[in-house]
Amino acid sequence: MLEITIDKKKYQADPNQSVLDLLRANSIDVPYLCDHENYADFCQKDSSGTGMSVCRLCLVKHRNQSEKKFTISTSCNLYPCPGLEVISQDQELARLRKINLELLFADHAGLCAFCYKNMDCELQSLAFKYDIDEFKFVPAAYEVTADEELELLYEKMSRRVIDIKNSSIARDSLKCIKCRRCEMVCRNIQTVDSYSKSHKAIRSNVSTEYLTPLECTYCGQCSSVCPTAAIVEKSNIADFQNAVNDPNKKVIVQTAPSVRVSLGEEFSMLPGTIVTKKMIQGLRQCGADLIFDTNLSADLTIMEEATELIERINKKNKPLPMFTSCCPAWVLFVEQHYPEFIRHISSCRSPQMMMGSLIKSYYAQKIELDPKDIFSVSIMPCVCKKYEAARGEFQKPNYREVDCSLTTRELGKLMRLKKIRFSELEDSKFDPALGMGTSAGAMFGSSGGVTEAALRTAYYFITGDNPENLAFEQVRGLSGLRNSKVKIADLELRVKVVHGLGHARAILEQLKKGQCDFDFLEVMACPGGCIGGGGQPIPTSPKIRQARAKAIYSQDDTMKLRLSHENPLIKKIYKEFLTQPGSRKAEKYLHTHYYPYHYRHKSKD
Amino acid sequence: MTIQKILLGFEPRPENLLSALHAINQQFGYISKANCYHVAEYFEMAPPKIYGIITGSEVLRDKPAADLEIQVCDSSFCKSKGSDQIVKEVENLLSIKANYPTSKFNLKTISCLGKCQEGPIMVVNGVIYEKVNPAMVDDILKNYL
Repeated sequence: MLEITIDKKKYQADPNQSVLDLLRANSIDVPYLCDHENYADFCQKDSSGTGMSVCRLCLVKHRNQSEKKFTISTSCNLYPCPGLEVISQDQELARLRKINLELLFADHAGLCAFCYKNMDCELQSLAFKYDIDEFKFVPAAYEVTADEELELLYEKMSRRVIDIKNSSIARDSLKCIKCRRCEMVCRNIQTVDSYSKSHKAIRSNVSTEYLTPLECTYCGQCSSVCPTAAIVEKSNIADFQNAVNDPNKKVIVQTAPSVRVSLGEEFSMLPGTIVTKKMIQGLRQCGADLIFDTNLSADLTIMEEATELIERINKKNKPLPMFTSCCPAWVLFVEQHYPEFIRHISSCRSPQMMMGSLIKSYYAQKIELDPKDIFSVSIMPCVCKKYEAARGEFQKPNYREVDCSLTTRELGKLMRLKKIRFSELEDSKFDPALGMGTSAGAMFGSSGGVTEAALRTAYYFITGDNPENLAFEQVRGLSGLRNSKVKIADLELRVKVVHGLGHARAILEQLKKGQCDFDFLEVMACPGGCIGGGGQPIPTSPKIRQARAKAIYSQDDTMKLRLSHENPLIKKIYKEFLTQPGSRKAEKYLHTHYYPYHYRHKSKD
Repeated sequence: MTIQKILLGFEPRPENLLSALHAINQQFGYISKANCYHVAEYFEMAPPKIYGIITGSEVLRDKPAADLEIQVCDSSFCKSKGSDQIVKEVENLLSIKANYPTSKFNLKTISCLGKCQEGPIMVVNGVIYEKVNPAMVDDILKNYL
């Protein structure tokens, strides 16, 4: 630990952490667009400095003991040394930051009025803050002739790359400011590595290889760190509104466990505020006819998954260790990069698809409605769920099991579009038909929750009793990799909980070498699980993730029903429709198959 | 020589990547998408990163060469001698735009070739023309069309 001076105050600094990290930790306000709080937990800042000091906004003045004059440099690659003196705010710095911000804006599209992320954009909010009212680096309309303007436009547009081929992520290079956060997240946290800087100078761009359409795991972390609208989720708001306006369609909405703890942030509430009841009322005002709880299908997932796990251990019909299948990005990751492990993934569908299937089969039969006339919408914290809903396995001849999936951000946007005053909404409840979940299902929102819920139910299935201590604390927490051993009767279950695809890749590499020290592996593709998902409100930082996780677990402490198998609705559904976990009918409606991924665009030369 | 044979000449270490890419570029004239995947697999690197290296280089190409490759130096000396006029002249004659390659023509502005004394410099399909003036452009291009 060193002592350095910032703005004439003394601070303790870690020599391995940059000055920007220190400034941020002490909540001293410094703008930055290329660095991100998410990096600190997950990746070593490499000396080559990829994605570092690109935006040139985090400028500070600094000098050593021996120096008299202050030097100006970026704080993100400035490391503390003894006696360092830093000035973080002053007039000259503000002027320089403003110039750099204007330069970023000059390269930016400047189409704010009809941009998808208007009023929700990091670059725009910085522009407000630094009071950018004129663009010195962009010629004004009266300064250029019509021909020159056309040429400028041609120059700009000819370099534009728009990618809307996939169902999850939409990219537009025109709005990109080349901060390369997406590259950093994709390379270092997720290790999927689908972006890289390409071309030089004015043509430089962050793109995929040979400008092919994006084909990755669609975890959406790039869209959650992008400071502009260059990478956004593919919006389904229009689909939702069309269905609401269609009198023949019954709009049924399901909401994921982690949406209720983060939606408040879209309406400037504190992170970790539980807004379940207001969210339901808001959805009703948006035009949803029925609102169901994904916690219920999470409970179903637990029932099926626990049954499958016990079957795998006892009957040895499928290989161990078993991987969870709730995260579509993780499933896709295995299909793309490790197809040899496909048989290890649990055949259970994700809660979203289970609920979709139940709505269009069990519930449609119950209310005697044609599945075609039901428009099933899921509100998810995830961008990849859009891809999952569009997967071939879930397309029926004349309907889709989940018609569209909205992210938390989209729901917030939709409510703002409808001019709903969120904090003044009345309380409302889920519709009773499929609207009751246990806290075991609610824990799906956080990394480790699936394991905990599955352990509780597996314990019951094996011993016939409920575990004495319901909270399996050892699988909780937000560290990247957690190991634990749980003794159930005479069976010792070794579980591993992982979040972030980078950690998952490390484990699969070990497994490839034959080092296997676990029976059950839970993977969530996004850091922190669904609470840090790609579709969650921006910003998502380690602190905010912690607050959301706390809210999720606080639900577990307060709810009466804490075990999936004790959910009366689950019992009813099995009695009326599915007979028992793992039955033929359950197989048909709640399970799925996986196939090695076939790259559509990459195979073409 | 196939791509595999070229790659086997290099050890799969990051420092050999650039020489391997140059060898492939020399053999095929450019680095195709399929070859990029081969390289990525051999060097255990991500394809986008390799594409970034290819497009960051003046010599490596990611597209096949055009029928007519024209390069005009636009470094300060040649520019002061009027290389802008030459670029405009070529653009007008072939009705193309500099730095926007078509399958037939590729007019590119390049940096200094070290022949400033003989500037402005124009390179057509690898042949260097010195002390070019706009009036000469028509005559030079006639040899190739």
